[in-house]
Amino acid sequence: MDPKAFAYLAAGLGAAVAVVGAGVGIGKLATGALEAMGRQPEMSGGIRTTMIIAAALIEGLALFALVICIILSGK
Amino acid sequence: MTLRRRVTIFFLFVVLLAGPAIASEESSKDSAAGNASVLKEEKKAPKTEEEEENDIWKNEKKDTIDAGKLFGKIIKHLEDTYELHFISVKVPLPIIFTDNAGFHFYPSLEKLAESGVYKLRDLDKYEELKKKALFGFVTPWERADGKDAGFTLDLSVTANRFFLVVAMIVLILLTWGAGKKAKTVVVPKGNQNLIESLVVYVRDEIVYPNIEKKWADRLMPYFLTTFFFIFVINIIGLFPLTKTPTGNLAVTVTLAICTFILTQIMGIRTMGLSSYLKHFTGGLHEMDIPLFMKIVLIMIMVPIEFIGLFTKPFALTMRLFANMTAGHIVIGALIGLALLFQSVVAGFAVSVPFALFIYLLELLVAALQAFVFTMLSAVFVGMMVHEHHDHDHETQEERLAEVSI
Repeated sequence: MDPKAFAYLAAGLGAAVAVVGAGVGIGKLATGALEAMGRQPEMSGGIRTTMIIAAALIEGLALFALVICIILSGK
Repeated sequence: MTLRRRVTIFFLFVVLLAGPAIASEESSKDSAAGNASVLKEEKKAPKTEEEEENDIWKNEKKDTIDAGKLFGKIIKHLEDTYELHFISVKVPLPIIFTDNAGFHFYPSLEKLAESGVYKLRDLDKYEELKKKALFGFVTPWERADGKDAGFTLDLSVTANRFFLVVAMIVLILLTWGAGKKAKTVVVPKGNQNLIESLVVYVRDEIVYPNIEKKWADRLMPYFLTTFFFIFVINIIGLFPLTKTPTGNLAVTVTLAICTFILTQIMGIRTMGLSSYLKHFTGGLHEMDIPLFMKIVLIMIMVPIEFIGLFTKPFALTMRLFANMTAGHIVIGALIGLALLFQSVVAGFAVSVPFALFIYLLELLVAALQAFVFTMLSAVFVGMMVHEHHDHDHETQEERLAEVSI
């Protein structure tokens, strides 16, 4: 195979795996948040804010990997 | 006007905006088809800049579009340029730089090329040099007489810098009046109401929960500026024909460095220099272990802690940069999908709804990233300011005593 093809392949696989990680993480986060909101509806506001912050942090990690994949696919 | 009517009008408006965007890209590709006849006659002719720009076809027959080249075009579209590109109109911006021959000012890139002292580089050589240079910093011009220009400090107004200044002006226009009125008008209306609600949100939900009140009041301007600046830049980047400065690594690195400097200075101010340096040992300096072990462990610990000091600003930059750039790339790719299928029907049926959804998501992400950046800055500064309460003269005996009760 053309050596460049490996870079494109790696970029695609890397992006997919990174998104799987982020999806699992945010899914567990949403589970915990919804359960907590069900138990204590009056804390909904605070839980929602914390949930969004945690989601942004987890997405940040997935986007590190995505940036590397974009750099790879550009080479 | 009911809410339903307003929402319908909004969606129609966005669809209307999407139409010209797709049409303009298709027309710029159509002009390449017009050049097809010229290409067939002069097969060996080198590609002009215009043809290079429109070259996304897979083969000479021009019936299928090469997806890789299209993606490359989308990524190139997000790069910084020395002129403002409004689809086909190019507004020139001044070129200012300093090099071995002194300070230079040219009103535009064409005047630079005409000046005779400098000329524009050949496109292929420019791409090659960009790959080799550190961070890809290569000026697109070179001296006409071939001599080396030395270290060039490029201060020209590029598109990103232009929109940074635009964001600054928008920010000043939005917040200056509200700030002045806040001192006298107790019941806010209109613009003052909006700005005040955001300021109160940043103050009560972001800064006060994380930093103790005395320092929070003194550091409030920094967090407010960070939040509003990033928010305004992100929103400006969502308008058509603009560039997003926070989608550029340099801008986000600068913002993260500002936070980094603030955290370190706050650490040194509240803890004192000796206590600040001791916290690099990660708590080892007050443990009751033999001196020899202590020195070895500290020698291992300090470099790790030192590098760990830089992971937080690095995460801040990458988070903001990647969120902004990825959003634009996804929208570009979805609109490019319409080009790939070369049909207007696919465009309106597939591209526009998906691109609309991602666009609204980006609107959320714009506000969210400003919020997260400010929140994390507040958390880091708060960690530095709180430290000196926890590590104040606490020996191991005292800690054990605390726990056993």
